[in-house]
Amino acid sequence: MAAPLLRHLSRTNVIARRTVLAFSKHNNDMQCRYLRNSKSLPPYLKEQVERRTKVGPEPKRHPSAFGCWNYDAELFAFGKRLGEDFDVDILREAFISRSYIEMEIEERKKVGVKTQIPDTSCNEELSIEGKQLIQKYLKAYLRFNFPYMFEEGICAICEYLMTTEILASVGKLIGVRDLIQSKHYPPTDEEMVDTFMAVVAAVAKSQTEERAGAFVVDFLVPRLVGKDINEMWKLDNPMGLLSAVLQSRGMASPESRLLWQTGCSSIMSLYHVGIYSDKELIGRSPGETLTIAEKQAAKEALKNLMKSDDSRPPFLSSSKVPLKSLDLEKKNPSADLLLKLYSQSDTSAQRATK
Amino acid sequence: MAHNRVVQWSTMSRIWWLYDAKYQCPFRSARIIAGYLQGQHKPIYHALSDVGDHVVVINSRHIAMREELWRTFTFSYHTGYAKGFSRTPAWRLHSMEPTMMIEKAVYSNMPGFLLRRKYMRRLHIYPDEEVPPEIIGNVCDQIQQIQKVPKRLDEYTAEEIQAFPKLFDWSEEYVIENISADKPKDTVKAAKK
Repeated sequence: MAAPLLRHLSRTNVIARRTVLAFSKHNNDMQCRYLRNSKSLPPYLKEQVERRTKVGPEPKRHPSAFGCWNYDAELFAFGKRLGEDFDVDILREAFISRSYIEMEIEERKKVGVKTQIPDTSCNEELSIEGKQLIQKYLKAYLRFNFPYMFEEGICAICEYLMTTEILASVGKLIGVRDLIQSKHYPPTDEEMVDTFMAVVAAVAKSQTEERAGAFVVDFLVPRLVGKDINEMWKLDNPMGLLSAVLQSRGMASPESRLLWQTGCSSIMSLYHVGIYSDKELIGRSPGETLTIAEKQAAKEALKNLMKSDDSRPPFLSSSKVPLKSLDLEKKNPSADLLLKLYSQSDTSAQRATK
Repeated sequence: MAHNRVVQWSTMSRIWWLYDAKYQCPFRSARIIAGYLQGQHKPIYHALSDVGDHVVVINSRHIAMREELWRTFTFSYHTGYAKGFSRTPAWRLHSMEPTMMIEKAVYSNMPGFLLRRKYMRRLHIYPDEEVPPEIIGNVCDQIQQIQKVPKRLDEYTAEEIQAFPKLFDWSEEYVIENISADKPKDTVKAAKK
């Protein structure tokens, strides 16, 4: 309700109305014949809504704008919330963005202060370092989980996890948004990503690289829940790759066979195609047409060979992966290389037959 | 072209089943066929969702009924006008329209709501073994018959009949019209007449 004016206070029934409105929740048995359904209340609320829609929503303000804000304490709490021991200076640097420095320089110029701010004090270097760390440990972790997967598949999963949306949302969820020193509030997605990567680098600098690796795995890998990791790698010719893989393993070339079909002359036709090698079923898949079913079956066979099929065991948690003793430089076999080798051997075999 | 998409397609597609009604009870067969038409054999079944399959019934002319049911079982109908009631015995209906018995039995075995007509459109009944190629080409599997098809006497060979265990031999004076060791088939035909 609006604040009562003095002339209202002099009218007894209005005072009674106020008290009734204030305590109507608790005093339902109070006798108030006209005052509980005040005729002035709906217009008042309507006016409030109209004014709010006219003005628009309130701009998002940084928590410090509300008064109670201690940046040092927040920084300290950030580290403790994540269970990491940060070096305060490194962490503080990780949260300073380029736009903040530019803004600061401009403001100082306006005031006439000539002190220089070193360019290195923003988080750009840290974020580059952090990006390398993230890629290194994510790939090592994925290779440990999928030792038979092709390097292209590993890279595709890593690329998916390194997209701006995912890194920005992870950063937002661990509470980076309010701590970033930036020109804008809320900060842009790019600033969030840079800051998250800088925080990873700060973990590595404050503690060890393995600790940063575990940090990365714990926060980024859960983003794969509900995602099809086999679809991240766009594979154009699965059958060609499959025959190359089978040849490299010394198995017979793939043969696709129609397992069963139904409704062929209806619009809901269905074909189940299986792929055999040495008379053994290595992959099968349904499809609307024979070509689609065969392509999908080849993909299924590749999934089975890479041991990333749907019935695979779940990801290991970072505590069960020996990140310290992992060989970070070792790579999985490359599909492109295999395809080149296979095509070369194929052409050489053709020459030999000629 | 995600793999999930084709798996979904496979789950929701309609399977075409074949049912051979030769020597089968139409009423008990209808319960099973109605279940397939409604999709009750699927894990995704729900009474309100249309996930049923197609069923192609062949040999509907050769259905079998126990006891005197061909004579005693009647189908009644009323035109809606005065004196419009009629009652037809099963043998008469079957001789007029050999697919009608199965159709009526399946129809009455399904719950009476709006999907029933849709389900019935997925039931294809043929009186004999001749099915159009565009229909039989869709079929991928067969529903198991509910009754064992009996072997008629004229389908046994003479050796099998001879080897059949006997409790006693007829005396030589006993005259048997139908069974003769020399010409078993002719005698059976004679028995039919």
